[in-house]
Amino acid sequence: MTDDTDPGPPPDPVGAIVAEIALLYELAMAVGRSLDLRSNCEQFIRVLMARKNLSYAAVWLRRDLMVDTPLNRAVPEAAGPSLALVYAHPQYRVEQTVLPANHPMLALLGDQGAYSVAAGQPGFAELVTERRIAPQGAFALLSLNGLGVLKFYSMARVAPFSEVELNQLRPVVGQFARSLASSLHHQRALREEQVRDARKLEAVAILAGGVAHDFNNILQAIRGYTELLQERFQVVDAVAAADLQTIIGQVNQATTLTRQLLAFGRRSMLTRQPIDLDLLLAGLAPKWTALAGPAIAVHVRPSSRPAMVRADAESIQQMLLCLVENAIEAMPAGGCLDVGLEPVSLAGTRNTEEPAEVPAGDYFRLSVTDTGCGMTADARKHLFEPFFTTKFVGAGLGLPAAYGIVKQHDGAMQVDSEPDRGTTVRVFLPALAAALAPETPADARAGSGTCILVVEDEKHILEIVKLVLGQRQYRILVAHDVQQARALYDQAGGTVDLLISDMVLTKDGDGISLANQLRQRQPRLGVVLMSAYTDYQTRWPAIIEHGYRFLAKPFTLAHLVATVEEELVRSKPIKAEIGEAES
Amino acid sequence: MYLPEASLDAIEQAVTDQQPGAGEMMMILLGDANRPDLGALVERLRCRGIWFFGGFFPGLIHDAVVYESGALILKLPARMKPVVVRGLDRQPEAPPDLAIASAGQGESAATAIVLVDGFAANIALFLAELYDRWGGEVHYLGAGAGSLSLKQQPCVFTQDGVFQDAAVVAVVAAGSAIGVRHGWRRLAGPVVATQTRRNVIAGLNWRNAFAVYRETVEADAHRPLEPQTFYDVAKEYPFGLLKEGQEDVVRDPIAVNAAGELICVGEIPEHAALNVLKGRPEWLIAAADQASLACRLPAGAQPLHSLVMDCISRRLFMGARIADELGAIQRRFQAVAPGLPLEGALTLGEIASYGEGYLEFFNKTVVTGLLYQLPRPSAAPAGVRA
Repeated sequence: MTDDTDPGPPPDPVGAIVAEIALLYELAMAVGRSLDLRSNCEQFIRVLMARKNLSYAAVWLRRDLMVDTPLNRAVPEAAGPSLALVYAHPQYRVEQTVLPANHPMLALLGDQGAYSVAAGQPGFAELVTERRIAPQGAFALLSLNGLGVLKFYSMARVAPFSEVELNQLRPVVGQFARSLASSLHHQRALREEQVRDARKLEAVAILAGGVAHDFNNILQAIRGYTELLQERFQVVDAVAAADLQTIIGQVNQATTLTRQLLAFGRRSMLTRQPIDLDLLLAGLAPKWTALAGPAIAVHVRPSSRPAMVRADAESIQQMLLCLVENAIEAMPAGGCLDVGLEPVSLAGTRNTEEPAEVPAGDYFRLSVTDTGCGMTADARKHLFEPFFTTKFVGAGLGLPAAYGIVKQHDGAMQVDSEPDRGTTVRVFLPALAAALAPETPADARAGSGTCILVVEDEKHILEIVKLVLGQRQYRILVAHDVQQARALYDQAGGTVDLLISDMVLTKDGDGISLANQLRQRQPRLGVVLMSAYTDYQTRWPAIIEHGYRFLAKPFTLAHLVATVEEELVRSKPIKAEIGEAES
Repeated sequence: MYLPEASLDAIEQAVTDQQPGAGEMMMILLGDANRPDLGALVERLRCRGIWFFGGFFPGLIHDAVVYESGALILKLPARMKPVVVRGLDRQPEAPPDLAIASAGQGESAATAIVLVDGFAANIALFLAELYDRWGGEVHYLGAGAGSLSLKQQPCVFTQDGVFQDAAVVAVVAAGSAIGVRHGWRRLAGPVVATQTRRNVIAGLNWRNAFAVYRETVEADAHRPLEPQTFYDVAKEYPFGLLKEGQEDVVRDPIAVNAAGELICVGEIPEHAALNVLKGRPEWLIAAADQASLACRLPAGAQPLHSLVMDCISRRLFMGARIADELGAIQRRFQAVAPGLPLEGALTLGEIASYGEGYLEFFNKTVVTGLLYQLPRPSAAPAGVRA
């Protein structure tokens, strides 16, 4: 029970001032502890938020002060410098990441350098550039010495931040702004170095690719004539034939080298088509685990959504294998190998975490992290140069080839490493536009809650269809024959949205008859039929008559997903109309 | 439900009896004393194909009574499968995406129950990452698990295994009203934590941490503060980190090492201003009462569970009067949720956010929560289109 008779300690004005000074001291000491822009912001903002009990804080900087890139140069700033969001916490509130120069935030801040407004007052709504800001609480803006604006929000407040509070914070925030200027300078220097290195690599890659291409032609001639000689000597001179075989062996080795050089020089023959990186990782994970051995723990973290890119699957596998092999070799005494995949948006804000050489947009980031020996800054600098190696084995072409593959896919590669602290290689590959729909709650996802009945008598095909669609949040029911399919359909009680069936089910019937039966009971059931037989054309009339979709085996997984999505979209609006009419 | 005997058979039977179905999960809190083998427990329950999560704690609370052994088993509506976040000894893994519908203002559509290894080094970093990703989309209620022996060991679990240096997060498909209070009051300060390493304070006011702390404590306690019997006295004098508009966030110094550094539960940011706090049982009980009073149900809400995470060190400090604290909370909760027993654990640190503010790891604090469900909005009348 509350002790109402105890009023608690009396107010202590001196103690309150001392507490405020102590808070400012802690904030001041949190400034400028890193030259990295993000770390610098993070350390200051998190202390500010924890002590001031804030719900959100963000650092906006003038875009013209950010690192110069072709992208930034291409965007004229007609009305003055726009602002870019360089740090925000928590991330889940972030919505706008670029604000025009005439945004009310700058006008409200004015020349005073500090401004605050509470919900219900004029100006509050204009300041909302975030998601999920309720019409309650208070915003505050503090100038970052002309570099940009520090913005923060407290949901608990009913009145604006007081003038005294803001005045207390201004010197510390000014100090923070000076540290940001240092970070920007450091960032610019780093970026210039990155661009220089990239140009140098570009020149070497062109040279290497050209040499390899010409050398390949020479090797082709050597190989051809050697094989002719081999045919001629095979019967009459066994020793000469064996020597010629040795020459062919050496030509093969030289061909492997030139292929790697061609890959580095971005002159590989690629067949780029939509592939799901998630599936690729899932397929490779067991091989990597076996390759790593018992002393290395392998963690593969898939993406939270389909990871579609347009890529040559074989080359991407080769690139990943190279990164994984390097990581394993860096951990002779064991350790952890982590392979992750996640969608990222490069906003063009050009902090050093974003790769310099690719435009803003949506990407998938593959990261390979080891806890091995790491490498020095000097080794890191030369990592992608051909014939540079820190190992006693290998030609030093693996990573250059991997780099070339990524570049040829319009992607970028980054390496973080320190001696004895492990290495992380990040690969950015452009996402296919359709694969990166805006993130929505699970309930609203295309797959979520949608029930698909899959009927297939071939176990491996059934498994792969189940795996692919299951990963996309569809609810999957699987049946091996018609009888089982009917039973499952009945059990589901009308919740099945789509039937995917093989056309020929060896045990007890065919997919068309099954689809016809279920369509009689549920006229708007989506139907996709599959077949590996070439004579499926003979069934075209039946397929066309009922408007069923058809997938010819072998199909790509991307094609499967696209067909399912199209069929569901085709059937859903009709269902909605019926629902409304019935109500 | 509370099981006095936490044998594998008894727990499995109790879980089976509650018949968890699709979209439901079981929370299993175990008392540290006489607890079953966690690996064997997970194996048993995994075979049943259900979602579950839990951990072991220095004590359990059921119907406002403290137990040191047994098991507390609650069936909860699940928003998603309970997940594990590992790596709290180094850089915590990224928490998974939270894909749930946004809640209305002032109400939570879901509640994240967060159980962490109470001895993990980077709990604050993990909570910062969790809040960064999930923010105010859910309310948070949780605690540090482990043993009062202060020996770190695997102490949290889900259907995916038993874990050390990890957190398990279960998102309950229920709103919650949450209260956080401790009742400790400022005795002296502020002092500046001039040198720290995560949960270790090496320097206070540019001097040896123990020397500064001892001067303050001995002046009030009128008895010596010795390294050998450190916690006997220090349990009454925790530190408080400033948090504007709220009570200080408490940090509990539990030991001193040979270098005169103070070992705390929870991280102490370097250069932070600390107050030395002092408590009295009646202040702490009043604070617990206030915490439960802060748990206001929205109109029409149907209460599901009355929960409490109460720091074990409050019990060590208050002794038998912990019953008064739990009784005060239960009385408040019974007024709004009659018939629901107060359930929870005596913990090694507590987790909650102050409303929409920053997600914090607390010490010597009580976190109270009423889980509730709102009635579904009735369907639109026939002929009316939204």
